[in-house]
Amino acid sequence: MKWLDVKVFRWSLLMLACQSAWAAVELAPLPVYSQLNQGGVGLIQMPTARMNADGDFSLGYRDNEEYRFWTASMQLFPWMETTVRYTDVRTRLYSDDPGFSGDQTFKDKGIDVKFRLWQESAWSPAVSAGFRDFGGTGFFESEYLALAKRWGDLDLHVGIGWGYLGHRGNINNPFCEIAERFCERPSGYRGSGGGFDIQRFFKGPAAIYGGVEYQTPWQPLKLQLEYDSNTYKFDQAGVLIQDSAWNYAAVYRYNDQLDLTLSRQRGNTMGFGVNYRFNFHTASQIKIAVAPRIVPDQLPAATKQLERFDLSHKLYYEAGFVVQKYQLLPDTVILHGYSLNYRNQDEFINRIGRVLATELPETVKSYRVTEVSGAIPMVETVIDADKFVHYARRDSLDAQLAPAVSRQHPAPVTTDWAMIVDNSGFYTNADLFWIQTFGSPERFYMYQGGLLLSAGYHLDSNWSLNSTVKVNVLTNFDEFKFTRDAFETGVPRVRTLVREYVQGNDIGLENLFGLWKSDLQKDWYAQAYAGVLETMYSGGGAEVLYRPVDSRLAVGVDVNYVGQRDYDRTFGLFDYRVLTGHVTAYWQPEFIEDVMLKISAGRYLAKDHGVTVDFSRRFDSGIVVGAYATKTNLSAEEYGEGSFTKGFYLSFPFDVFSISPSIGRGQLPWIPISRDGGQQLNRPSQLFGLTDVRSPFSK
Amino acid sequence: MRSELSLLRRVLAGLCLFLTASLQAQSPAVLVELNGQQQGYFQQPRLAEVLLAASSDSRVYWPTAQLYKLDPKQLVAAEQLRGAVMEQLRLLSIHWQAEPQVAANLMQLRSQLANWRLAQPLFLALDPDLSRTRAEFNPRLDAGMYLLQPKRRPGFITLTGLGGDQFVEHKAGTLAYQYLTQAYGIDHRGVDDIYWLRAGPTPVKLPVASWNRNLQQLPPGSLLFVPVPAKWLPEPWQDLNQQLLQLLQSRVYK
Amino acid sequence: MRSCCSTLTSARWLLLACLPLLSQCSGTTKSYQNTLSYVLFPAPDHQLNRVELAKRPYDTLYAKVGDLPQAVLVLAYDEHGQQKWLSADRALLILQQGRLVKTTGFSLDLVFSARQGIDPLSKPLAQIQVGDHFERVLDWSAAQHTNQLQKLSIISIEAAPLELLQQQFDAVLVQEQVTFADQSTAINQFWFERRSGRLLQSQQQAAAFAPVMKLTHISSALKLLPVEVQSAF
Repeated sequence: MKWLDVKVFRWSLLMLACQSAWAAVELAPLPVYSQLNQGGVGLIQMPTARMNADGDFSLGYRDNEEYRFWTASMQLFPWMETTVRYTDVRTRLYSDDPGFSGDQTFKDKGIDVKFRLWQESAWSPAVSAGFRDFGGTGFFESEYLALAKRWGDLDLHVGIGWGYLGHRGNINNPFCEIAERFCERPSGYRGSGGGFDIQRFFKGPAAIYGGVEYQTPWQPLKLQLEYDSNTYKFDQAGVLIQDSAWNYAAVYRYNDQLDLTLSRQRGNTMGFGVNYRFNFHTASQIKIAVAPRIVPDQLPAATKQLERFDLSHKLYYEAGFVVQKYQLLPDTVILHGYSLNYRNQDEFINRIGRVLATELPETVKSYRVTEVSGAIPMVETVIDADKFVHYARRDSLDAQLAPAVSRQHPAPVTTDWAMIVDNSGFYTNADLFWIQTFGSPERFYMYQGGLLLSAGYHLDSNWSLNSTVKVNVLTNFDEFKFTRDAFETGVPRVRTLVREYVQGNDIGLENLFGLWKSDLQKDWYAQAYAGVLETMYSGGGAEVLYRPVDSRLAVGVDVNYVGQRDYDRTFGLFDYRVLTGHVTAYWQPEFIEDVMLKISAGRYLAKDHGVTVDFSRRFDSGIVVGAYATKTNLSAEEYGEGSFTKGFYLSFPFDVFSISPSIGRGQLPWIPISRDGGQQLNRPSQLFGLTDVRSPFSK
Repeated sequence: MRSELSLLRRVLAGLCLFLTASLQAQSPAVLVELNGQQQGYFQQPRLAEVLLAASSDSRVYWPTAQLYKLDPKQLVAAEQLRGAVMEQLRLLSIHWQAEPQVAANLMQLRSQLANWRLAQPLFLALDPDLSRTRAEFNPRLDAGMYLLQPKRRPGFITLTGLGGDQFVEHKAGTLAYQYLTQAYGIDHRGVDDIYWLRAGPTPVKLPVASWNRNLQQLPPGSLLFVPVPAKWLPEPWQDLNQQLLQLLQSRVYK
Repeated sequence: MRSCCSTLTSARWLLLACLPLLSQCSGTTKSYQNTLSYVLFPAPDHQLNRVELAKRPYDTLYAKVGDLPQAVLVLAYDEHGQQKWLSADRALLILQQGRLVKTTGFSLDLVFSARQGIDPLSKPLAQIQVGDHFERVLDWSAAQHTNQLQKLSIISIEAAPLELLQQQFDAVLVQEQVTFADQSTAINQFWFERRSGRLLQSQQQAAAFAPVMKLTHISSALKLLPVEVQSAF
């Protein structure tokens, strides 16, 4: 089609269908169940046995006069749903001291989890068991066992609740029949709150609840009716009058993402809610990018001298690959560089291969593309030219990319390079940052945003000098009234002085350190760094990592000796010194796909010993959801409120929101409470991140 | 019995043709059967070239067109499966002698099954306009024999199950389970899922029972398999639905 | 500590303004710049001038699909009474007598169209009358949009001058009301050149959920111009 002038048509864009050779049919989506007030799939106040589709994420807001809820519910696996929730109790103040918290109302956070025990079939209901508010201070703490059965447009629910959901006490607690100790529900937290209060599970009064959901003939509208097993006599908002045990609601589906709910509860209260839902597997944005080249049936006879800069430009423009070193042998081409745009390895290799197949002579039978990270070659992808062309041209019905491609540890290059891009010298960079916390006494939502300006000098591929300055642009952290808290637990204040650090200068030195890194031998990497390492600590350290290509297991060891920095974040140090280090195993298990476990054991900043377990799951869109917990030899009393360090995070690829492909990622952490135990050093350079391309998890 | 022999003859004829074709010096690499005629290509053609031969009739409805590969080994395996399933159906209908309607339905399915032509369907988007303009939809055909079936637009859905083929008129807005009810009435309580054939490399399961059905609609010409309800399948015939499904995947629909 | 920061307020904003210069063109920044510029400065409609048009060996169609910028399509195939127009990203719009009957390459394609009755547009311009009507059944690539019956009838025929290629054409505007399967309606418009009866421009919508397409048969317009004007600058 010579007469199609591609350059002229560059901006003529029509919606493109997917690129597979077989256009798959679009199936009707899985049912989406509405969320209950406190978050999670359910009716109005009562949770049900239903589960949403794997990867569904719902953000909810509910306003019920006495309570307001902000919820985020995640279907982490098809059989497990987790919910986090912030509750605003309008009828109470945060504290009795206006100097401490002004007129902010009482806030609480909670975490729920629900497990699917049995899937519905023709003759059996769906069965799920759930634990609500098990990890917080227990406003709504309950356990429940729920059953659900569908019959056409009616969804029937029944369940047994304990705790908050069991106050009605209309049945005898079945566990009480088995053992005496289940008849009374103990009060009080174990430790200092924040733990799993197993000693209370399934104890005390129990009640049966039920409900029905009706899908009206008009698709967007569902009606709900439930029998409430709570009596509202023991609520945090005070004693609430319950005129009727029946609650009812209407749910209006505005579109695939948005739900609106209107409810009448206790016979006397109106409730209103909004839910926004999307799915982590399918979240994506249509991309506008240069189409991958077509490989013609007749490959061009390559007689002209290969213009290497022209090739580099084409590789950058069409495959997002920046070439740093290049060598063309009679039968092989060797490229060293890094990828800028395409997260999907298959798409990346496909694009590079097509450019090389059409630009290089036919005698070149092997393309060796090495991805470099931090100036160290990380992984080499060898493309067999004949098999690749066979796939790219669709020369047979079942041509696949996989047989043409293999990944290996980069082989050493013995011949001289035809072209080297010198990447030593000065560099600068600027990044945006955003820190936020929820639930502070001064103000519920506190934030700090600004720039991280970096500059540095690369001496060669191993040595460099790096620095970063943090500049605050937008912040309300100056509203922090309460800086040093009065709790003295005997544990060194390694992290709880955070407010002193963030309240100081709007411009502060984040880090300034010298770095040496190297690949020692096949699959082994090492680095050492010294200087100002992070906001709160300066010192030095080293790390060694063992990480084979495409391996499910990697192991690293790091050791650091650091001192605590002064609040003004210049070069001064306090007297506190600590030797901290960990052995970390990074494991992607075979028996469960797309899951990564990081287990770190060692000595933490407060000189405590323990282990951190970090669990994360990756969804098809590249979004990663993770949670971590640290248990050290500090007792719950020594640790303080929360009992042990835990946190959650959501990491998302930036191009979920942009129209051009890119490889950057953003991270949204949520740490319910953070004290001094189990705290690790924020090392300025991490080998596992540097070597990511060797066995990518979060692509 | 007669029909089975004629089928066997057809298979043998195909085998002979294939063998003689490969022995000749200048034999076509690819043979495509189209509307009862053989089209030969000496060099392996791309899909667009093959489809263009059929596109002169502008009333072809490409979404339901089908391309099959006539692979002798696969044909032999399919014939063996057909023989086994026919035997299963015969024995099952004897088992249900007491239920004359069920026995009759089983024998009806069996007699229709005996007349099916079998081949290996290929899962490719068949549209000459698409193949001509986009290289990824224009693969090169491997050497061998093929059957290309372009069709007029069918205004109905085909459901195959107990009693053989049923045809229900396609109407916009009708859901999958509603087609089932129209074809079989309430006789098919106990069928939780039906299978949508040729919608992908493997049959797609569609939930149709009162506890799992959804808002799935179907395009005209859809081919569905309705499993024999479990109540008619005693222990020795537990695999019958799986076998029927497998056999249907090799069926050449007219 | 607090006081020295306030004097640096203006410096902070200056730094923020310099951000695009300081940040290396990392892939992420670039992709967000692309997204923002696509939203804030949408690509302009693509057009060719008369000289470029005259040089092209194949016929050209301008197609503006919904909110997308206008694209330039070429006539790839003309067969069986259908004209098949191809875009740079290899999508096809297939027209029969100026009416869209099939598409490929879209996320939701029109795969089939069958008419019951005579399409008024297939008649010569002089014979099209108000009240001419027919019905179409359309199949789209999604199962829930198959077997869509629509009724079309001509509601008005009037003179309407049309400007293309900086020339005024004496055109006749034929307006047609289409009633979709969900009973919603839309108006399709077709501009024909009065003397030759050639279709110059059309604005049509194939379904309630489909984007409105504005198609300009620019090559037909060029051929209608006097020869001197065709090659003039």
